[in-house]
Amino acid sequence: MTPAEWQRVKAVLHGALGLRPGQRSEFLDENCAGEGELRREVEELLSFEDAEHITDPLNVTRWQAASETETAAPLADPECVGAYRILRRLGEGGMGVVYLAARDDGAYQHEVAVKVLKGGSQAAALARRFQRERQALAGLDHPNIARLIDGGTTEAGQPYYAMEYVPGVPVTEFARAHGLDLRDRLNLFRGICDAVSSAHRQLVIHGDIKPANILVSADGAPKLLDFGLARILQTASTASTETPTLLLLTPGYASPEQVRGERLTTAADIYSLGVVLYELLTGEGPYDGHRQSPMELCRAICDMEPKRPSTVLRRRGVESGMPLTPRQLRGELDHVVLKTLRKAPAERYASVDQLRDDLDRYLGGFPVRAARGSALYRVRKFVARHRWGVATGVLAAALGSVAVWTVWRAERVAQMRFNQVRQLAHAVVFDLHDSIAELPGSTAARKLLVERALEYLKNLEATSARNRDLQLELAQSYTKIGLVQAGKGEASLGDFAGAVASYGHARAILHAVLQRSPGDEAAADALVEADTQEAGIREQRGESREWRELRTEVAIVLNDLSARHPEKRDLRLRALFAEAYTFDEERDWPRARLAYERVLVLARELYSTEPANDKVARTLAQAHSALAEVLNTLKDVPAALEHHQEALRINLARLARAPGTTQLKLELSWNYTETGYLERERHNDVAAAADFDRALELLRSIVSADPNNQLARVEVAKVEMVSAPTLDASGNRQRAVAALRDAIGIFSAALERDTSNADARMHLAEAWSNLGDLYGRSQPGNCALRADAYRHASGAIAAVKSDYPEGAAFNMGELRTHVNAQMGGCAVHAR
Amino acid sequence: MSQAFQELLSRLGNGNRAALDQMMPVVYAEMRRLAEGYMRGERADHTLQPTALVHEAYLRLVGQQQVDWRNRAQVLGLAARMMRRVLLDHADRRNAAKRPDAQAAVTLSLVGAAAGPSLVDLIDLDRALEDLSRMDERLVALVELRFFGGLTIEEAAAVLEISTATTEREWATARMWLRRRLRTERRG
Repeated sequence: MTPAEWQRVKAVLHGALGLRPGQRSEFLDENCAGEGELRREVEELLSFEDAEHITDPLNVTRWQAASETETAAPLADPECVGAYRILRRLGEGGMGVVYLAARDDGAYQHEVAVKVLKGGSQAAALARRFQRERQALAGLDHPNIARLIDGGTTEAGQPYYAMEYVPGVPVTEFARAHGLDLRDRLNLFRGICDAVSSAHRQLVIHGDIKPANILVSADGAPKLLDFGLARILQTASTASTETPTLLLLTPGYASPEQVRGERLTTAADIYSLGVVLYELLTGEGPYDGHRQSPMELCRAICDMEPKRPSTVLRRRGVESGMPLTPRQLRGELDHVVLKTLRKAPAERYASVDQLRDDLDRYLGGFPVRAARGSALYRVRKFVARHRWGVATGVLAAALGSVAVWTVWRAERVAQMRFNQVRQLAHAVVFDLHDSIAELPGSTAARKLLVERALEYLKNLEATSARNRDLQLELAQSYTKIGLVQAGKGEASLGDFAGAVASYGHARAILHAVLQRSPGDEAAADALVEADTQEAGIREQRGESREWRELRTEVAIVLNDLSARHPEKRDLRLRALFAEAYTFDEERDWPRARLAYERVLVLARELYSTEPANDKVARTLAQAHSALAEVLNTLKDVPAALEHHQEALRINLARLARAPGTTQLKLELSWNYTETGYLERERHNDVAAAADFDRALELLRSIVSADPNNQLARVEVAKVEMVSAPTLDASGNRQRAVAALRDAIGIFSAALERDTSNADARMHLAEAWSNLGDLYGRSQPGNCALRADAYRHASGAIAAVKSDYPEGAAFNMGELRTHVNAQMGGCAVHAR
Repeated sequence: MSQAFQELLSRLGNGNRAALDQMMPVVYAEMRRLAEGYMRGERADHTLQPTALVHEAYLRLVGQQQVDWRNRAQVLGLAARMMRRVLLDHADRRNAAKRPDAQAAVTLSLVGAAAGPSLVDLIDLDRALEDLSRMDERLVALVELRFFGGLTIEEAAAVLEISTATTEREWATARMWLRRRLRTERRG
């Protein structure tokens, strides 16, 4: 029956349904006059009407499955499929069964792989579709693509196809089994790219790229199987209902648009290639953490940003069994992989060739395009090539030859405007702001001033393109505004987001300047300043990733600068220091130790020639302190103490030359705190208490001279906290309690000023916990005070952002466990 | 609920029907996961209520979110269509694992027929719907909504964008057609 005929039947049927059975006959006489077939159809259907009213439910209530178990005997393998004799079963997948088969062709025998698809109800559509596409698929001729030989329908009506038999293993397995190094893995992957690219040029999309479809034979050549089949399956399955694709593919490798059932494009293949590359480099897929259910995986594919491959490798450590290191992946390979995995197809590589080209560039030591636009990237690349002694002429020339093209008149106009606005902005931000900064309650006014100044600066940014001096001043102004918004250790508005944006502006400008004129010392200095400031607040807020990136950039910029000005030993010193600091952050203690020792050698040398140069003296003291910290971590306490004491001696000498310097006092207080801490470690409580007292004395003198110095205030609290156990151990419990109470007051006040101050919050939690412990020791029976302290600690812990970097001052997990246990203990005791 | 799904829901609210299509894989995956959980022997009698399952999937996907009742019906309708697919996949797998002569064992228990609950072979039903879809896709859609999704006449009418009176007549027609077809099938 055609749809039109059926509509006619329905029309009459609907009419009849509205009538009582007695009236129907007459109705049909009228409406089916001369159409016997129509009337018969309607009457027959009406005979199946049930007795009840027509709105009765006819719902499925139960789905009954057979009581037999799933382990029934599998379907027998066929002996022949088309012209092929089945030799043995090679495997079984979601789509069908694969056999090794042979075709006896007169003199010799071809071995082929035959895949019989589980067509189910769509077998016919599938076969038709396959027939149509066969031509295009058979035309794919590439050494890395398994050739399609034949296709058809089995006697049982299942579609099948025959293709070149590839005796090999999936690419990821091959890489693992042979322990391939990075270069070999990438080369293998480039072969895969070639195959996909060749198919794309012939307008064939693979649609289901995954390791199981990329076999590598013993000679190491990869071959792609099943080209174009995913698309056939998809189209066939949707042909009848006009609904988009269901997930027939392996979701782990499918792109977001495939998961959403959108049309397949080459971008989907690029994405899937990216997943394969990810797995080749890290040993796991980008969403392996989200595999609990297909839906969660689909959501992850559509919504979650994958972790950087280097991060995955670092997290898995040696357990991954991968012969690659995070360091090898960090940077360009991270960029390349992530660019293939972008959610939006337009943000991925535009073609497989571009992806392949970037890998070529990487292997050749050139900057990859995935990182294009990032000046930092080029600098890093440059430094790396410098380091390895590769000829750098090409890139240096390219960077240097970008001519500064500024029309004279335009520049004059810009210059005039710049000068006017700069003066105004400068006056607003620095003079006006600073003059009211000390006034109580001036925060709102300061904010307004800063915002207004920012507007001017934004206008400036638009007119000052490519003028190096203007850009530099602009960047420095942004940095200063960032400091006003949120600077570590300065009176600030606590506007974190605003500050980050300002530092970001400064950095973007400076990156552009440096890209045009690498080696511009003033610009590099300004960049280091902006980075350092932003790193400071990032650290304070526990944003470890950003913080690390910024510190890395500082190290790279300084390294580059020092390489360009080898005569400047102070630059070399700063570069070495920054590098050592990077190792320090990466918790690579042995390397950090070596790096700091190198810093010390150079710093001592400079110090001996210029003992009066305070900058050098300061760096030397800092190097001693930093090395001491590393040594302490490496459990070499005596050596650590020695270096701390050396730093202390140098700083005392500095203070003698410039008494009353706030910063110097601050640094000295840190030195005393550190030595005190180490003395305490060695159970030398008297010496420890004396050191803590000196530190507190210095800090209190800063606070009394400048009550607005919040940094010094917080430092007082930190030292009080550290000193409390020592006071308690040396028999002065009252002072210990008082010190902790004072510290708690200071941390609470700091948090009131800036609720996002993670550092203060963690210290507050620790301080409350310590107080609880102390009460426990002094008055074991008095549970109320203890419970109260632990409650406060627990509240502070709960408010700490959970992603605070590991290796930070505190282990929040440990503290939480401790506090919870103590609270429980208290409760038991109280009962 | 994932952000993407939420966005799809809101686009659906704005009358964007394509959003519904985009939800399909997500809904399918969820239905399938739920169904498989049930079938992995969590219930001794190996039965489940597709209608309940559809609503459970809906709740999992949409949660406590305030959703316009028409959108609710549409998402439920989608889940119902996916339910048919899930059941069929299951039947396919089961039959594939059996000797060819074994009786197809995935059956649906229907109530409302004159003689009380009766069993219908799922594969037969699917084949019948497949044939019906060649003549009348809307009728098939309605059957899916009512059979597999347990949607009321009103809800189904909202999804199909037809009046409830028409929906009632269509529903009666569908049942007559299917009864005739399935009875013929069994005889043949």
